[in-house]
Amino acid sequence: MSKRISEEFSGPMLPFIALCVALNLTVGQVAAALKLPLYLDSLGTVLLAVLAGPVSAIVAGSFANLLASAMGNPPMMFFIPVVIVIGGVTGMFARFGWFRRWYLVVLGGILLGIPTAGLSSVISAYVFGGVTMGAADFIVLFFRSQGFSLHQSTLIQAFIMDPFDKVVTYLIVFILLRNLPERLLNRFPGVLNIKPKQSDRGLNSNAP
Amino acid sequence: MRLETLTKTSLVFFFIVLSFLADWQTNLLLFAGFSLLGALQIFLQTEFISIRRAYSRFLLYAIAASALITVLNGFFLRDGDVAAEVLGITFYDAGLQFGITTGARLAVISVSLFLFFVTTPLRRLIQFFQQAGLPGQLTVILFLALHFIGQVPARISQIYTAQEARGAPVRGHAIARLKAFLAILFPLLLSSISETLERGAALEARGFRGELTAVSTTPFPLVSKVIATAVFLATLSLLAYSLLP
Repeated sequence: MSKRISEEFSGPMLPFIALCVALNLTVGQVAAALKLPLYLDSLGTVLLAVLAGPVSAIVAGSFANLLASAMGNPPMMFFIPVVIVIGGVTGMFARFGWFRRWYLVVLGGILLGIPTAGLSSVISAYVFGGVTMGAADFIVLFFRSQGFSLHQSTLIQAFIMDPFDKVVTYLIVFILLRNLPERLLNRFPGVLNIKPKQSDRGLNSNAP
Repeated sequence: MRLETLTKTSLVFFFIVLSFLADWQTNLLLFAGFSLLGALQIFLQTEFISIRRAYSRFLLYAIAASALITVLNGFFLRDGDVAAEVLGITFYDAGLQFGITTGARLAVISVSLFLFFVTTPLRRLIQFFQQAGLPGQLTVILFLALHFIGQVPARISQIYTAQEARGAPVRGHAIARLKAFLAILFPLLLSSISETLERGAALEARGFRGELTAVSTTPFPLVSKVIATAVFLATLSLLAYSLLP
């Protein structure tokens, strides 16, 4: 097993990974309680992908969907492939240093919204016939009534909602990381994904 | 009769595949059969009123959702002949057909998964994962996640009440509600991250390292393995048969 994955699952990280599983399951409910038109069910996955790495993010996201199925929302199990894309792509963006600048965060959110929209629309269309028992179903029905095919309708609905949701999720994580005390931040393996490089800050790394 | 988790997993997989291949009449029959079986199992053998209530609610929800899917599709998808006109609202054939097919399939998927999870406590599910070779670290994560799932909503409720008392606009317009959401989210995240790092340090002090190795537990019983293999082969045969021209 590579050193990187080993770091992601080190002792100090295990409770944090578990917390991110719980965040995925609960934060979306708060957003729904406040009647916000957002899913925010991948906040924990994104946070983990930036602070730890993609593998732990994929694991946490998959566990969250599995537990959501066990706790009364069976269709969530079928969306595990979407979680894998979110964890993997976000981890990659974080390694590129995209979580250091707000405009790259926005761009990353939009770019992530494209594959997730494509994938979730396929699952929604072919597994659930466009019905996932959410408010988004009415958008799908509206487009179907306008003569679009089932897959076209779920794709349009996903492209309306997913990029927006992902940009908001990315921005929340970005603001949170900006406000996280340095003593906490330094304890995560992904700290270099967030902090500007020493050369960017005008510091000489060879200085005593 | 208590089924092993491995047997139940294979059966759920079989019925999910079957729900995609069968017509809506068969799916409705399967749903009725499962509902009856679940009711017999839960009402005769479970003394927990909460589980009985949850099951009753779930059945009502599944039936209402399937009916709603059928009606909405019948109304919105204006293809084919007019099937019925109720109170001046016209329903179309193709829409009703699509709606009932989707609704019946979803009902079978939901009830089979619900029965699996309601008869498999999470701790037994985690034990099943261990038997299947899940590394020890991942088992720890699952157990800790169960702890946090119980704890986080209580903390959210505390912060929500506190922010509401401070005048956070939890019932204002969309932007105000988003601000209220952030006012709840950030204290929650900061306090939770701090707490998890402390717990992590304690785990590290007890010798947890980052090695994803499988823990040795008791293997699956032979009978379960045989049944699971037979069900898996039956599922494959069903899939192959459906693909025949």
